[in-house]
Order: sequence, then structure tokens, then C-alpha cells
Amino acid sequence: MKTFLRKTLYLIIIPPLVFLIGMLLPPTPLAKEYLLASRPFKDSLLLHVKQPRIIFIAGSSMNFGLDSQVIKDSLHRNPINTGTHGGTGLFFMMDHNLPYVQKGDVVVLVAEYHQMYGNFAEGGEELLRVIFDNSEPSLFFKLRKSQLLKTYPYIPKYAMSKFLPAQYFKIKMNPVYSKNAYNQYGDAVTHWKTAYDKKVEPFKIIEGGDFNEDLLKALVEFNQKVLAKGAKLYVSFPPYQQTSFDNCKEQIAYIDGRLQKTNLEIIGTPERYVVADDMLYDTPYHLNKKGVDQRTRLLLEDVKAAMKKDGIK
Amino acid sequence: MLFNSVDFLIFLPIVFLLYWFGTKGNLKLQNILLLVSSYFFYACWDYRFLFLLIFSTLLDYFTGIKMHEAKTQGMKKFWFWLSISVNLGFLGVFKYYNFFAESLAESLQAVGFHANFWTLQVILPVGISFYTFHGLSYVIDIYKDRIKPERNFVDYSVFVSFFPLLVAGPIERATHLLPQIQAKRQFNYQQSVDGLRQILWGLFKKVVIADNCASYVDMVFSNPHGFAGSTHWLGVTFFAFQVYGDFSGYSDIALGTARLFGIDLLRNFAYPYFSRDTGEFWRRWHISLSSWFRDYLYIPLGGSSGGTWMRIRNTLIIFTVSGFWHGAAWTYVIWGFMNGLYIVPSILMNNSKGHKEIVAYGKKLPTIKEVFHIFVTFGLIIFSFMVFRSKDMTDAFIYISDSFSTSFFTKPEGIQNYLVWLLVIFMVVEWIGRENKYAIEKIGLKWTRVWRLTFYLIIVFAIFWFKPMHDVQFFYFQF
Repeated sequence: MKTFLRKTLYLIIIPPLVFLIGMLLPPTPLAKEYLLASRPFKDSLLLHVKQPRIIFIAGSSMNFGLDSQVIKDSLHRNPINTGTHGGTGLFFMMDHNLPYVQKGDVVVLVAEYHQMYGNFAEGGEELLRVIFDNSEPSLFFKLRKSQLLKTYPYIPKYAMSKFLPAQYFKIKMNPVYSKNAYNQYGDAVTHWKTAYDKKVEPFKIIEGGDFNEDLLKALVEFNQKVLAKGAKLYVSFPPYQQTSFDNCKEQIAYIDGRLQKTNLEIIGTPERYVVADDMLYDTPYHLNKKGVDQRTRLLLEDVKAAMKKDGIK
Repeated sequence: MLFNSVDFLIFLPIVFLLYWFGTKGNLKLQNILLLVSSYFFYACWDYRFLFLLIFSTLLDYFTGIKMHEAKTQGMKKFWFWLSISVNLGFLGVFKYYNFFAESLAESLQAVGFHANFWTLQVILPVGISFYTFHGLSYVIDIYKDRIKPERNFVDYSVFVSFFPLLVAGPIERATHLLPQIQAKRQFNYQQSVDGLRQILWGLFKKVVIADNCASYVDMVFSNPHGFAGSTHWLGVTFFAFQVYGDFSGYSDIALGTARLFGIDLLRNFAYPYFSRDTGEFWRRWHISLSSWFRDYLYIPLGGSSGGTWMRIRNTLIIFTVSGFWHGAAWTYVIWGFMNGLYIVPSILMNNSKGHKEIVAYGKKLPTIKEVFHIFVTFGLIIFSFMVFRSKDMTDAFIYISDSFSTSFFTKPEGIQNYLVWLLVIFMVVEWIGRENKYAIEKIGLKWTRVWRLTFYLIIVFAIFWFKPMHDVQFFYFQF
């Protein structure tokens, strides 16, 4: 029995040890080049950009969907686009950005529809990568319980990726998804000059599960905290492919209905941000330059109108 | 609690340590512990159905004793039919009521009558088909005087509820399992190592093979209109590996887990995809169910003794019933019937090969003829899987007709190269280990300890690497 337990223990102990070593290893060269590595840059924008400011919080729909220069020229506010990857989860986006919000800031939050269903908003592998590769690893233990439960299964895969030769040698990084794809405001711009040669497959349904009630509560709390800091929060909708929108109409209408019933200040409508296929880059949420121009114009109109109504200059 | 979940990873060592250290080898305590653990395991699914399980156990326990003690044949028959009808009644209500109600309503509608039967919004209690069949075999065996009833309620309950086999089999027989439950069990190093190895291979099959095939299969079968014929064939091929990896993986984990407790369960799979004809396939696929139907349905119906037509009739009956056992849907019934039809030519031509040994036994490679037979058999099986996996018969017709369209000659869509490589590696390992109980049973036994450990660790890391980020339910739990 002792021999059996000892040998079983080897088999049980070695994998967690390997995972631990993987976690402790520094970020790989590939990870250092990936778009998630833009987090420190975006954090520094949040820290150093001067007032008056307008902060955009969202996932990749903002990353690949805004021309901040247009916003700046029109609103005369310094824009900060914090969008990177939806896989970090909206909970993290709110919790991580809130400490940087200052008095007088205008914050525009856009939740991709997928964030609102199931546990997508709790984050996934990208959240782990942001924390362990590009932030303080101790942040992991400050995550919400639901985020911890969602992300811990990704630990083995993340840790094992540190041992893959492809992470270190002959690195091929798509420039569109590189940390160098950004302009000075945090907008991904490299793809503005390139075309995506494949058809964008529409979403048939927003998968994941039921409407995330906890996220809605967290949005309301986030609004209260932003207001308490003397800033203003507007919630808007992401750009979304027409076919995907048609397929997911009921789910999107439900999100809209639930948001409207809160005390959040909602700007625009889901329909307003629907885009045709020729405005898409590579997913139903990612826009090419044509799409970016339209989305920026519409968002600007909505923000302007809301600020005017609220007496914000 | 899934076998591939963290919960089970915690549950199993606790029960194992308590079993060998907490009971100090006391058989009574060991069995009580197994029973409590099994009920806990089941309650983790849905505690409400635990009462159904206990009721079913009590019913068969008492009717078994009553049958044995019955002074007249009439009383014996009474207790026998009471048990059979209540057991099948539960199965009928929970699993088949809606199917019959809806089918009858549709039939009446077809001839101009409008009927509106009540349908029940019931959840299928997990494992009901398996533990009901456990109980049925026990009761039938007592009725036929093959065994005597078990008087110890705990022992009998463990036979029905032993957690490794509770929710998806193997469907055990009292003659095989009960004596093991009653016998004193001592820790056996070789048996436990073997069990652990089988668990590891079962997890690999489930997590790496089945779960990775699942997303492609779901994509193709959820939209049979949307893909080319070549994609349909690839989808159903992946489904063949999904369902095999899933169910045989589950069985490996069940058998391995039972071995950790000193109990050997019936073998459920024996490399079915290396079969040379469909008859052999069914002797190698879900063996505990096939043999159950053979012993408790095919033979009582007359088996092979009554001439060609009776053999054909009986074969078609057991395959159709077997299909129906899988679920209350026409797709399962037709699938079962199709597999019955596959056997008919060999009955008519009286040329059933009755292969006992695995293909190319004692050799490294099969002959060209054997390879041809294996591929034809596999083709027939996956053809029937097109019906089995489809949502309904309408989807099945679309799936099959598109599979034979000219788009068969196009390149399959969404093909993932890593998955193809995984399947190739998997089948090579299965081929190498095909003469053993499970593929990796003897692989590496002659290697040095370090190499052997490395081999096992590669499997462990592959499981972690390829594991989907959510626990995927075992396919056969729905049955």
C-alpha cells in the first residue's frame, strides 16, 4: 500500500509542480508581443493622460472599433481606449479601470453582447495572461470568487504554454494582433490598412447560458462608484454584424430591456450600431476602417448629446 | 459529479483512503462505506432521484426474497411480475411516456383525429436505464432459479448502486458482482496500479479524444443543411470516435475505479472499431448491454434454435429494443433496426464468422482482406450513426441525402489538423494494445521506471492540455 501511495503521489505531485514552474516563468517572447501586452501601455495612459478625459471601456469591439482622434477633435477631451480582448471579461475591465477614473472623467462603457450571457464576463485564459504576463500576479488573488472559479481551469494550459518552443523560437506574430498595433490613444490601427480575405461567419446565437444577473448588478455598482468619484458613466452598445444581430435579436432585445430598467444612463440603441459585412474586419464585433468611421461617428453623436443633456463640457 | 471533474478528483481519494485505512479491512464496514459513498455520489446529481434508486433497490430486494420463499408457482409469478412491471413502469414514465404520447397523437392526427395527450415535464433520472437493468437481471435470475436472493440488504444495495457503475454501467450481473461484494477484500498492489492505469487511459479517451471531437460533431449535426457531403462524413466519423472515446473512456474509468476497491467489473468494450463484421462489432461494443439482451431477451425468444426466420426475427427484435433502450426517439429505434438488418445477410447465408480473437491476433499487421473488412464494417457503423446522432428523422434524412450528394467530393469544412493527428495517434495506441483489456495495459511495463513515468506524465499533460474549459457531460448519461 505504501509503495502504491508513494508512486501515485509522484504522478499527482509532478503535474502541479510543472504548472507552478510554468506560472513562475517570465512571460514568453510570444506573449510579450501579443496584443494583451498592451495592458501596461493602456494603464499608463489611464495614469498619465491629462484632464479633460474620456475613457472607453470594452473588449475588442472597442479595440478594433474606434478612431479616438475624431473624438478628441470633436469633444476636445483626451481619449483613452482601454479595449483589448473580450476574453479578459467585463468584470475585470470594470474592476481594473475603476481605480484610474478621476473626477471630471467621462467614461463610456460598452459591453459586447456575449459578456451579458453565461459566465463570459468572468474572463478566461486571456484574463490569466493579462494578470500573469502583464500585471502583478498577486492580482489573481484579488479577483472575484466567480472569476477565480472560471479562470483556474485555464492555469494548466497557460503554464504548459511556457514550455512550448513555438513561444520562444521563430515567432510569427500577426501585426494586427500585436502590442504594436496601437496609436497613441490605444486604438488598434494596423488593420485599418489591411483587408481580411475571409468571410466573417455570423454568430447564430449568443451561447454561454442565461443572462448574467451578477454582471448587471456589477454594472449598477460600477456606475455608483464612478459617480462617487465625480465622474460620469455612459453605457452604450457594441458594433455588431447585421446577420449576427438578426440571429440574436431576441437576446439583444432582452439585454437592452434589462439595461433600460436600471438607473444606468444608456446612450444609443443596439440597432444603431449594426453594421454591414463590408464594414467588418475578421469577426462580427471587429471593424475595418469604414466600420470604425461609422461607429465613431455614431458613438460621438450619442456621447455629445448625452453630455449636452447632462451639462458636461 | 462527473468522473472528469475536480469534485471526483477529491471524492475518489477520500473514499479510497477511508476504505482501506478507515475500515481496517472489516468487510461490513467496507460495504457500508461503499454504499454511503455511492448514495452521496448519486445525490450529487440530483438528490430527489436518490429516493427512486432506493425504492427500486428495496423493491427488487424484497421481491427477490418473496419469490424464493413463494410456496406456489402462482405466488412466485406474482412477485416476479410485480417487480418487472414496477421497474419497467418507472422506466416507462420517466423515459418513454412523452414519446408514446406524442407518437400516438401524431398517428391519430395523420388519420384525421385530433388528440391532445398530456406530456410530462419530467427530467430523466440519471442512470435509470442502467440500474433498472441491474435489478431486472437479478429478479429474472432468481425467478429462473439461477441464483438465490441476497439476504444482506447492504450487500445487495452495493450491487445495485456501486458508484463506478451507477450512472452508465457496465450493466453487472448478480452472479459476477455479488460474490465479490461478499468476499473479503484486501489491498492488491498490482490490481490497484492496473486500475489507476485504466483510469488514466479512460480519462485520455474522454477528455482528449471525445471532448475534442464533440465541438466539430455538434457543429455539423446542428446544421445538417449547412455543410457539404464530405463534411457530413467527417462529422459522423468524428462522432464515431467521440461516442467511443466517451463511453469506453467512461467504462475504463469505472473499471479502473472499481479495481482500486478490489472489485473487477465486467468488460464493456473490446476495440470495436477493429471488427471485421457487424456481428463482431456488437460482441465488442457495449458488451454488458449486448450480452444482457442476448441472455434476457434473445434466448427467451428462442434464440438461434428455431430456424433462419426465427433467428432473423429475434435479431431484429433485440436490436430494435436495444435502440429503444438508448432513448425515446425514432432515431434510436431506426438505428437499432438498421444494425439488426446488418446482421441479416450473414444469417441468411449462414456464414457468420463468429470471430472470437481480435483481428491479427499475435501479428503486427492485418491482411489486406482484414483491412478491407474493417473499413466496410466501420463504414456501415458510421452510416447508422448518422441516424443515431441526428436530432430527428427529418434531420437524419437530410444528413444522409447530403452525404451522398456531389459535394462528397469537396474538401471538408472546418477540419482541424490537430484533431486528425490525435485520432491517428489514438488508433495506433489502440492497435498496439488491442490484445489487452485496455490499450495501455502493458505498454511500458518492460521500460525503466523513469521512461514509464514519463509515458504516464505525457498522458496526464495531454489531458490537461486538450481539456475543454468546461466539464463535458458523458454522452451515455442521457440514456
